[in-house]
Amino acid sequence: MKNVRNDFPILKQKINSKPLIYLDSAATSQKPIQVIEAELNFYKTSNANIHRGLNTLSRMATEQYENAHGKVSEFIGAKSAREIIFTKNATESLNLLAYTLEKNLSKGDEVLLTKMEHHANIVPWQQLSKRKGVVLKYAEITPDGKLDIEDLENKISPKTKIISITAASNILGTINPVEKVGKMARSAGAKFIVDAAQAAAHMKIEVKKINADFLVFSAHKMLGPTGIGVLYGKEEPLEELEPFLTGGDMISEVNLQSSSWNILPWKFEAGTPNIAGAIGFGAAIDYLQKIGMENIALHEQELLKYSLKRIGEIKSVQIYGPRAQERTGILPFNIGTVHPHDVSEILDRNAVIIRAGNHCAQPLMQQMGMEGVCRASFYLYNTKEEIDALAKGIEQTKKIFGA
Amino acid sequence: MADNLYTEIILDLYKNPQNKGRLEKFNLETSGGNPICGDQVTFTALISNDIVEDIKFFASGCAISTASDSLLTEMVKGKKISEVKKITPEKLFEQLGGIIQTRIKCALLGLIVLKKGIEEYEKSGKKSATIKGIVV
Repeated sequence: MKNVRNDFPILKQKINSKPLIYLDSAATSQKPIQVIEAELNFYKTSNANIHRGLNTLSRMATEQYENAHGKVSEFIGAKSAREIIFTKNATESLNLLAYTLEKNLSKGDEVLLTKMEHHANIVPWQQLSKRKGVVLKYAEITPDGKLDIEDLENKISPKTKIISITAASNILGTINPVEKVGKMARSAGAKFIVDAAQAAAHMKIEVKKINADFLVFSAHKMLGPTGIGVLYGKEEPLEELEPFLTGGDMISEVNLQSSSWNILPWKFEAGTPNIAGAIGFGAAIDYLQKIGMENIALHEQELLKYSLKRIGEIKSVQIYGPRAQERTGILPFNIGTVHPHDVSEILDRNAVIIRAGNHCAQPLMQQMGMEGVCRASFYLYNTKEEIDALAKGIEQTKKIFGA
Repeated sequence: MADNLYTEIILDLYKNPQNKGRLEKFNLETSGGNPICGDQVTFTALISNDIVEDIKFFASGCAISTASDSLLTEMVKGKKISEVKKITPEKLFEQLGGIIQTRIKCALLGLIVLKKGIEEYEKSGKKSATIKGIVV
């Protein structure tokens, strides 16, 4: 793991003449040179539109684009690449579902979420609720930031048609028992959706084990480029859905008054997709596979444990969330009553990049009684020395604001 | 480096804010916030004969917005509302000892909320006004 830093050009950069310490991978990860070069090489050698024409260049581009689907399929243990749809990001994947699942819902049907969802897994369902009159329910979380699984079970009713939960919280890092919830969803006859945006980068995702109908994530949080995400779906429920976006490439035949749809996954990929992004994503998956997701998870656990101790022992620092074993490499904290934006401003001056604010999860913040929180998040390229630098920055912040 | 942003005036006002709280008797209540960063402020003011007799603020926000709210209450207390309306952002920034580009919104929140409140107070025929949810 020590050598991986050399693969990330940005980490050699200085900010305010200090070495960059990037502790915001939960927002977006940095990219290894292998990913950057994969995109560059595509544009230099194979750029053409895909699935169009029988020319050599288009064949090269198509092959690489389709290969990327194959890599994702293998990465999460899907049955085939037919189950892998490329979208813009996890948010678009969830919107696609909220729109296309609509036809099977009636007024009064229920969608069950949790209080630790990212806005991306709340707002599309609120919009659906406005269109169809479905009722949104939220499973509670415990004071230490875990999913209250009993409450979730109690909130399942014969009217529950969709259960959509995050695999890992973007603020607390809490890892949720998705397999267990999946079983509950199946016995209730509800469609089960997993938001793996915060999980796919950090742990081995096995869709057969999770047994979700749909699972979504974004490439940019897992060393890949921005602008490309995944909707995984089992073939059967995907076949049942109408297309979300329509136009070129997603059709099999177009007549003046009606059209028929292409086979999976192309039925859901209208228009020219993010070809270079997909190829970069494929390279990111190769990179992750080479290191091994188990090794990445172990490294993050080690950093998390170190940070819980190192940062936790600083007086007037409060850390939120469950125990190390039950979370990903995310450290949410506050320093006394100092506002998170003031903390991040001081840290920024030390070239320590963290996230501060409400983190696109306002319901969770309200639930935890927090106005804002600082979040340091770790990935495979981070080191204990960087956590020491964070500690130093926190001490400096305390001094400036008298906390 | 940090000193450029967090001037002594700002840090002092943040640590020892003036006029913090809520007036018992007031005829103007105005509140608003910045949804992006979550900063919130509420002013209660007692205005009579066009003069701000008393004012208090309650805020949750960063050091800069808190300091700015506090400074504003000091700047306007005992002043005519016509003078309050004339306070420019530049004047406020100057009094705070300078504000960097990226944090202008933090410093401006209070001024915008207060001016909007006074506008509504005048529209009410200078009787009383309650304005909530101003988005900055």
